[in-house]
Amino acid sequence: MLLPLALNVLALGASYALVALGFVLILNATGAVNFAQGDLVMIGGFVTVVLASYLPVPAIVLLPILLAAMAALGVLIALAAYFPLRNRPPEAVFISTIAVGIILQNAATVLFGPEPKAAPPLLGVGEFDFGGMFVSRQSLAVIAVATLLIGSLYTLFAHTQFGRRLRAVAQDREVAAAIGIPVDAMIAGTFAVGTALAGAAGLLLANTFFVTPTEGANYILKAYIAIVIGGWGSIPGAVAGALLIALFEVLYPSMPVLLPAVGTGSGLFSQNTSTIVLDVVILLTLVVRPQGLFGEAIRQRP
Amino acid sequence: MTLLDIAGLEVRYGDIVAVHGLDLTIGTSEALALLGANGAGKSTLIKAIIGLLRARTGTIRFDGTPIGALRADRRARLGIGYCPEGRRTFPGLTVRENLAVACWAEAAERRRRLEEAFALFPILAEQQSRVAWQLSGGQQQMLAIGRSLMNRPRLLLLDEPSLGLSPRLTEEVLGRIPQIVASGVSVLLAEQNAAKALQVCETAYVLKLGRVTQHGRAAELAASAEIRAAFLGG
Amino acid sequence: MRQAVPWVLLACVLAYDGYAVATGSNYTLRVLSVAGIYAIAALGYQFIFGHAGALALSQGTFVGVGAYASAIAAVRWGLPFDAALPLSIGLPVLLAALIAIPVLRLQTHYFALATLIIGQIVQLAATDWIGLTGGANGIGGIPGLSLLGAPIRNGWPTLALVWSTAALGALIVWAVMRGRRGAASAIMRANPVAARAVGIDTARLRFVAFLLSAAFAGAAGSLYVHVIRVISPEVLSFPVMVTILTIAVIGSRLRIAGAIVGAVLVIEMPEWFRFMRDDYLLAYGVILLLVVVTIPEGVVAAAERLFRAGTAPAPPRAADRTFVFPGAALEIHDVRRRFGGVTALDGVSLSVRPGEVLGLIGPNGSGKTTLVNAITGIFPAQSGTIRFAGTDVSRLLPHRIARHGIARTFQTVALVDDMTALDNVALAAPGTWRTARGGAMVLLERMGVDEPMRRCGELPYGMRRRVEIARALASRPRLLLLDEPAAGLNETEQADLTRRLRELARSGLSMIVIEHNIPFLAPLADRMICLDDGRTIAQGRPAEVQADPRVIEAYLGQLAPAAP
Repeated sequence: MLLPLALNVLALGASYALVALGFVLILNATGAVNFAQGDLVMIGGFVTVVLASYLPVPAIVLLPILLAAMAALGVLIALAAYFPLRNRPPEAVFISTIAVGIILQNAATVLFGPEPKAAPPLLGVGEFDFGGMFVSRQSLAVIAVATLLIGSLYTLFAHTQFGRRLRAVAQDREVAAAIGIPVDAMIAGTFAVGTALAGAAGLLLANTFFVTPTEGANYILKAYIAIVIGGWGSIPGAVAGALLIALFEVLYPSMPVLLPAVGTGSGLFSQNTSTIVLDVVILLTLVVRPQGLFGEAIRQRP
Repeated sequence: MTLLDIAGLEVRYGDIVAVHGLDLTIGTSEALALLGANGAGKSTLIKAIIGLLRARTGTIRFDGTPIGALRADRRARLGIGYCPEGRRTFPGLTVRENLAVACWAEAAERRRRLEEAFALFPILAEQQSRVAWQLSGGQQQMLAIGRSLMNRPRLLLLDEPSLGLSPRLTEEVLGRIPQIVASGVSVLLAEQNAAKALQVCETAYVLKLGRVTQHGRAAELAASAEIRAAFLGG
Repeated sequence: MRQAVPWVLLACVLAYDGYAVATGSNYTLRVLSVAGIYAIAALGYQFIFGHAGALALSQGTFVGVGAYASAIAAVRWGLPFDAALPLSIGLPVLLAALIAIPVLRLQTHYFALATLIIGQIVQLAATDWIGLTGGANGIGGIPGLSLLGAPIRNGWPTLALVWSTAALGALIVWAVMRGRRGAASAIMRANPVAARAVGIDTARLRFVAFLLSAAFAGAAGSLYVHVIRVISPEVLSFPVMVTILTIAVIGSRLRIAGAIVGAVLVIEMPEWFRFMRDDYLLAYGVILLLVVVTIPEGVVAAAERLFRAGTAPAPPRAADRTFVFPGAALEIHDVRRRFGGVTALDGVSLSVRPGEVLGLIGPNGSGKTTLVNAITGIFPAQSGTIRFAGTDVSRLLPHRIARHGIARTFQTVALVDDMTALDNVALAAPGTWRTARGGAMVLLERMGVDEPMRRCGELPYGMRRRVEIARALASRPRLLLLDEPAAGLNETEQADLTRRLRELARSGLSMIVIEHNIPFLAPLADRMICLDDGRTIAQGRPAEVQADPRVIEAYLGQLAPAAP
């Protein structure tokens, strides 16, 4: 009972973490919110569905192709919606990426229709038997792939010159340029990485949850919330925030099953109530700790 | 040998002319002090050289090549090091990372240059795993200078390195300049601390409201009554 | 010419409405009515998004709440449109007030998220609270519009009522935002720190803007539900919010005509692209992106820019009075402030007597500006006390401190560039807008600003400095803090400034002047203090401080060894 539940939490949380990470990378590099991040998850799902219809192979094989395609899309978005507005206040980019989201959503509706579609599983269907406990292969594969991606990202940022320079650009763009870092290329690169991560999340989620053109709003809100819980701009915080959201989403509706004492039947543990409770918790977090649960106190400079 | 040659440079912020038709040259292995009060145009000139501000008119030649049309990162890669006013280390990067990001050589050479930076400022070696914003002002200043040397520049632009430092630390930081010059680097030092700057540099320019009012050998300027008047008011 | 632009655009809208009435089907008229409703919602949204500059994503929610209030009142209690309107307006306002208390103080993106989340909660509540809202199916059978018992027919009567309401809304916006509130909002957007420093309670200004936007949204929701006649949780969904945001951005977020032109463009546009069938929404997204990227200020502001040149209106008459500034004493004791690993103020104590000019010198980074920020409450002291005119002000908010009579100027001039010099000064003055402007004229004259009706962005630098000092004086300060007033001024301008500042000091005003330029400061200051490394290292008469060896060492370095 508990093991499958824990794996569900991890699988969902890891997928959300990819979305949130992509979001926070772009946020850090540009100071702007990419509101199309949720729709990019959706596009990732649809591209996987399309790829799978030409190449009937497990989704894991499609992943590298998807990452490359999404990275290219990310550069395109940077060119169309970020660079022209780079000297405007951050709200301008917020709005231009809302426009990008509308375009992506409607393009998906036109191209794929409004019906939900499913992507192939990562490795295959079926369950593993852990001494009587049955664990879905897909969940395990999702956790493995997401962990691998997050791990590579961590290595990239902590241990490569490229990653350090991305961080330098995020912290002080002017000085970064003055010590030789090509800032525009780095920002385009950040959009590529962030978009690829959203696409990967789309591939991972589109098997279990299907993919529909309008689902982006759901994911952007979760990414946004994960970032706020984790501390605005904090990368480990984004991962932790995503896991917490998943933990809540999986555990809350199963409360009546886990703890029969709390009662069943009432609408208190429906999907909708679960979202409302989560929302209220987030609002309280914002009010009590605007710097997030893991964020450090805001640094002020004169 | 002229390394940097600036002619007729004019830089504006909106309608404020911050630098007026300025001419300035620096030779190889020369240390030049740029003196003047706040708002005299020192930072503006330095930012125009590295490319963070665009000049309206005038030419900037570095080692004979016109660089006025290049982006800042291209100029830096050509061999101009920049240590900004107010230090501006990358606050979330460690000391080691702050130094490493500014180096464009391969890994082995990068490690060698890290060691050189640590040799120049031993305190940085002790603090190498701390994130920069936890450092004291003086340590951050040394880090910023160390960072600007990581790409082996031929010209180093130092913008007010003594800013906010105690006299002892100022002595320590500015005292490294002759050492840096001896290794073949030309230095352009913008300073309000006129006396110290004149001690460590051979030549000096005095700026006032964006124009050069005096220039010449540092020793002669240090003796001039006008310099004392300009900075002491009497 | 420039003033005519919005009117020309509005005339186009009106002509289009007339054309539709003459030729269009009921469907066309209904689309235009919906455009009018969105115009009302967008007019309201301009308060919080445009004037207050806060990215609220709750306007759609407020529209939905207003719509549900009217729908439920009509179907359950039989209340007609006009009787339920106060409820439709009041409920969103109440909701706005409730969420404003915890949420409105949050920074841009946190505020956006918080409002987004509140929207989601309301939408889910509307879906789940089936007994009240009819759940996902919503409520049908809502009667049409009516006024005082007389039903308003579909077609042009409905259109006329909707657009009359929009016109009334536009009038309200104009009445609210002209004068002081508009000017205060402008400085709050341009520089919130400066706004607080002239005594503007920015939190209150944002609060009022938020409530006003909710009120407009409620009215729009009420009209909407009686025009469309059914309601479902869809009305609370994010696309409604996006539409309102789009209208504000495309139209221009600060222009009344912008909300109206934007609404007609955005609501009508999908109709124009109908021939593209399924792709029309796609085209709509592309056009939105193109507009945001190419004319981010919106069509109305862009059109105005084409016709910028024009004659400035005549300045108001200067008030018939002279100002005196009775000074007050400031006592600072052992003030400390750290930033990360850097100690900016390390136990500073000093005092200023009424009518005294204190010169504050010290090398860059010695803590002078930090001290001014501590006195004005921007970065409050972490320990120590600051007493002004007998009151401890060290724990007060910046606008409270400003209202106690401490005014300041900034190292980099902090004015609203696209507002006249006159309004920049008047926004800091007490009294009605009329008396404030009259008083501002006096102060501008006193500071030697001879073109009060020019926009500040067009004034030369030296003039802008004077405008900023005039603004600081407009709040009738008893202590004036000047942060490098002479920076960037030439010698004539400096001499002129010295004369004017001395004159102010003679009328009794206390002053602290931060300056590097000793030749400027020495004749101006009664007394001088030198800071170094966050500590006071010398104080006394200007000549004494200049001669103090510690000052020479800290500030200028040891000149002696270099001299032959």
